[in-house]
Formats: sequence, structure tokens, C-alpha cells
Amino acid sequence: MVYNAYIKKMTGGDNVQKDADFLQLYDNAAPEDKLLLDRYFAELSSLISLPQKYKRAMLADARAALAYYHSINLPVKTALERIKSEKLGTFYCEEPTEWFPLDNAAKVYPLSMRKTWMAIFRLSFYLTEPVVPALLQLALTFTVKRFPVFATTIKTGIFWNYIDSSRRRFAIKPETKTPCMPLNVSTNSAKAFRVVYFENRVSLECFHILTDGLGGTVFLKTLIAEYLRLLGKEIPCTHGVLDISALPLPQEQENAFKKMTKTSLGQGFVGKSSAQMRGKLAKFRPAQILHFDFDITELKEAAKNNDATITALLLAIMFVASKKATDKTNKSIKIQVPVNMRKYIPSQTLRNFSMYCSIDLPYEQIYDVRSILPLIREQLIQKGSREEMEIMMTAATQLVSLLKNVPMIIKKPIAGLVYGILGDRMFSSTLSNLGIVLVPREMRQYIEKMDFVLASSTLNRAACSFVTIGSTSTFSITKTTDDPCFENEFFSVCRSLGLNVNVSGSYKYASKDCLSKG
Amino acid sequence: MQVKIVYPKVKKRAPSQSAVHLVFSIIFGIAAVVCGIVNLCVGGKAWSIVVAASLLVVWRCFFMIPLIENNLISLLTRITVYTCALLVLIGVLLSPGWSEFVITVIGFSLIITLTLIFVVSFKKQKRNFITVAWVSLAALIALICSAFGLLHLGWPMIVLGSVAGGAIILGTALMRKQLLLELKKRFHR
Repeated sequence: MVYNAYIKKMTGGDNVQKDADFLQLYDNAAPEDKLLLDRYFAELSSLISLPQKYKRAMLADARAALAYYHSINLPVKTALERIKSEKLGTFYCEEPTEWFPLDNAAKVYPLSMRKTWMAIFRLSFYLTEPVVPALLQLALTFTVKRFPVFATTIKTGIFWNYIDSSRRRFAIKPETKTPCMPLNVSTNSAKAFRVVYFENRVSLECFHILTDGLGGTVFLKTLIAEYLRLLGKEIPCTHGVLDISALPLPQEQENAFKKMTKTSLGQGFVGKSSAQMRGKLAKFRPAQILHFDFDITELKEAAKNNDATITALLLAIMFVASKKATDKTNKSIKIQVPVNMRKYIPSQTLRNFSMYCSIDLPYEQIYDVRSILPLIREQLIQKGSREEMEIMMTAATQLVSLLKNVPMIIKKPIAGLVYGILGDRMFSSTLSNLGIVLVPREMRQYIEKMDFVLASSTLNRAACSFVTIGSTSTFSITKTTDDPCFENEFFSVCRSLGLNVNVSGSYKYASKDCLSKG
Repeated sequence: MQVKIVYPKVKKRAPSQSAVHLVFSIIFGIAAVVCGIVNLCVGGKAWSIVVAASLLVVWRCFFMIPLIENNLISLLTRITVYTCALLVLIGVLLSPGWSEFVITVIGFSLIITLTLIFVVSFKKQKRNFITVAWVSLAALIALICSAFGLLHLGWPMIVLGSVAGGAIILGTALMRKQLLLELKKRFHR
């Protein structure tokens, strides 16, 4: 039992019992397989230069993966080929020296975060089979090195926060908490994202400081592709799946806001307050997550019949539902729509590069979907235009320039107040449309659907997001109230338009039903 | 509308505005106001300000925990700085003449402790050196002030200055080029 002694040495003896499956594999292995395993772990160990607790855990991850492969009768040689130590590269044994100033959009997030709220978004892939945690863990370990911005921790400078590279084991977790719960980013090498799994779903919950929805999608696609490769599938690096053995490109980490053309006029952050939906704000947030699954063909057809884009149609439905959920008011209903700036300014950045426009309609003008669609379409074209976005980006840049010499100690309380209170008051809701997510054809067959969830906001009762993969489009609502008026109306309007909708979601988190006994 | 549950039951819900925070803020607020009223009624020294400041220190140290960089070095520094501020207040309002001596002793004890933590777990703490540097710099400024007669130049002040100088030299020797990089990060605009 040479290997037993080796494991005892590496794990401090505590995890030997947990490694029973692996030990069984090792004990029953042929001499040549034992040699391969010894060599593999020696190589792996030499590639990890982290504190002992991380190193032990990472070696245990490899053993867990091998035990899984053994359970499905995969030969040791093939198993070791799949999880070959070269996939680690030198990432976990080199001294981290990189650091990244925050991009213009990210600067506000650490200033406005609170213990109970952080700007977190969540992307999930639903696979066709239940997740194998041991392989997902290794997939994450291998994938992170391709995304240096994710392998960071948040630090405080004199004038701005920044993200500083850190090395640790990036652990996956089973999903046991409410979605988009704030992350603990205060410790020495705390990460600003989490990967959780539940049944056949893998979710990335990411602090907006690192990336936007598009960057998050690339990360998650690459992670899932690597996970599928560990399962023995051949997945090419196309359609936004990055090659994890390649070096990260500098343009993927750039602050793309610097590429914009400055306009003479910069405006767009201040506006009148808008109508808020009724319903008492829940004590626990999100109050509930809801997903409405559509068939993309049906949705396209409905949009075409109304001479509109899918975004415009969804906005129209949201306006009608919002009106129903809002007490009669003389204020406008405004919906914030993030705009991906990459469509105007080509950039490979995987960091934040989006602005937003505001679509607003007076309460009295909202009757039904068909009557408001032309107004929405017009506003989307005008307010989402490149010129308008450049004006807003100029304003953002001017604001950053104005505040760059103000110490954090002064900036933080003001920014928190402005962002948390004024920012939310300006909108009734949000619709973030991630668009169609493309994945390699070889990967598509293993993905059932995808969803995209926004963090709950301070005042808005519902934050909505939309994403399409394959033939399924998913509209998600993050609720901050138990009042069901908005989603009920949204559902009925969809049905009245002839759309078939499957509704899924979470428990109401205020109810005791949502709590597990364990 | 039927909702199919696709999320697990949770062990922990997202934190709400903590009831504990609310209760303590009410208790602290009432205590501060009552002390102020009693102090005004009975007269004498302004001890109620010290009570209010003490409550504020407890609040800042134990209820308003920083969300970024809440490491051992910054935690110790924060608690010590607030405590020293409270001692200054006690010295000014209640019993003058001793606080400067005590604060100086606390100051060099803090620098020694921080330097020990920094050196013992250098790999883990090297990116937190800036806090040690700030405290040491403040100590050196205090020494310069005392050299110009603005503060009392006793043995504690000399020890404080020496320990601070030592901490900076040691940190610089250990960090070398990394110190410049660390400063660049911290001061970037």
C-alpha cells in the first residue's frame, strides 16, 4: 500500500476514508496502471504550488474524478488521458502578478454593494444528463486559467477598487442557497463568482465587476465544453468556446470603453423617477425566480405577425403586465434595456461592455400589446442607436474622469446612495436580452436549455432577462415581492397572443417551504 | 399559472436587513440619547459624548464589517485605530494627561503585531503590506511631530518611530519590486 501512504502524506490522513473508492481502484489496478497513477499524481503535485489546503483538495478532486471513471469501467489510461496534468499548465504553480483596473461600467459595483445586495447575474445551462460533480470540479479547475479576470480577488485602492490576480482552488458547490446571493469577497483570495450545480443544471453566478452577460456566457460555454470533454465527448473550440490550452488574449481583458469615440455632449444618467409596481418588498430577496419557456419559432412568428422584433414584443408584454401590476399613477412606466456595445464597436473583450437605454411610456398610453408596439419599436431604434449610446458612454467616461481624483472614502457613500436609490427609482423594471447563444453543433445535443437571471434590485419589483439557445427561449423574472400580479398578467398576455409557455421557477423564498431540513 | 419547481430547497436564504442590526441600532441610539439627557441634567464633564463615541466604535468595529479586504491585518488596524480615537476623546474630555503615552504604546504594539503577522505568513499577507505601511507612516509622522515639539517626545515615541522605521525597511526588503507594483495598484486612477 505504497499509495495509501502517499495519500496519507498528501491529505494529512483525514481524507483517506473519503478516498475509499479511489483506493479500491488503486488496489485492484494492474501494475502498469499503478505506475501510470503514481506518475500522474507526482506530475499533478509538481504543478500545484498553493497552500496545503488547496493542494490537498485539488489532488482529492483528481482522485474523485478517477474514482468516477472507474465506476463507469473506463480504463485507467483513458481516464488519465482525459484529465491529463498538462491541462493545468503552469497556472497553479506560478506567482500571480497580474492586476486589472476596473472597466468604466464595473467601477460603480463595489461602491454600491452592500452586505445584503450585490450586482450578481446568473447564467445556467441545463444538460440532458445529471451533472457529475467530480468532473465539473476538474473542468472548472482547468477552465479558470483561460480567464485570468475570473482568477482574481477585489481590492481597494485609494481612488478606485481593482481586481488582483489570486491563486486558489476554485471550488464548485451544490446549489443550497437562494440564487444570486451576495458573495463573500472580503477575504484574502476570495473569488468574485461561484459555480453551482443542481441535478442537470450548472450555473455561474458572477459579480458584475468581472464581466457582463456575454463574457459570462463565454466562460460558462467553455466550462461546459470542457466538462463534456471530460465525459468523453468531442467538443471543438468554436462558437465562443475558448481553447483552454491557449494563452489568454490581451484584447479579451481590455477596457473597451476606451475605444469609443467621444461626443461633445455627454448625458443620460439622470432622469425623472418612474412608476413602481405595487407589492410589499420582500424581506428575503429574490422573493422568487420564474422562468417562462417559449418555443423560439412561435415567438418569432408572434413578433413577425405584429411587425416587431422579439425584444420589442417582450417589452410590450412587460408594459401591459406592469400597468396591471401598478396602481394608477401619473408617472411613466420605464423599462431599462441594456445594449451590448460590441455591436457598435467591435471588441473581443470579455469584460463589461454594455450601456443601457430606457424605454418609457406614460401609464395612460398603455392599452394592449398591438397599440404600444409601434411606440416601443420607435424608441428602441432611436434610444438604442449608436449615437445615443456614444452620448451615454461619453457621460460615463466624463463621470469617471471627474471622480478619478476623489478618494474612495468620499466616493463610496455617495455612489452607494445614488446608485441604490436614484438609479432604481428611474426605472420600473429591466429587460436584459442576451440574444441567441450559439454553441458548437457537437455540444448542442447535450444542452436542454439555458436561463439568465438578474439580481434583485432595490426598489423594482421585477427584473427580467431573456436568452435563447436552440429552439428554446427563456424569459426569467427575478421578483422582489410576493405579489403575483405582474407574472400572472405576463402569462395571460402571452397566452392571448397564442404563445405556449412552460413556467418553472423557485419556491417563494419568504415561505418556510423553501427551507431544507438538512 | 402552474409553476414547476426547478430549484432546490435552501439551507440559507439571502440575508435580509438584519434584525440584529436594527435592534442594536435602536438600543445604541436610545442609550446615547438617554446618556446625553442625564449628562445635561446632572451636569459635570461631558461623559455622555464618550459613551456615544464608544457605542459608535462598537458599531463600526462589529456591525459595519468591510465587504472588501477584511483581512486580519486590516481588522486589527481598524479596531486599534478606533480604540485610539476613543482614548483621545477620553483624554480630552475626562482625564487629560495620559492618553498620548498609552496611545503611543498601543501604536508600537500594533506595528509589532502587524509586522509579525506579515512576516510569519508572508506569502498570504504580502498583498496586505500597504496597511502596515500606512500605520508605520502615520507613526513616523507622529515622531516627526514630536521632534518639532507638537507631541511629547518620550521613550514610547522613540520606540514607536524605530519600530515603524524597522517595519518599513523590513517590508521593503521582503517585497522589493513588488512594493512598487503594490503602490501602483493602490494609487491607480
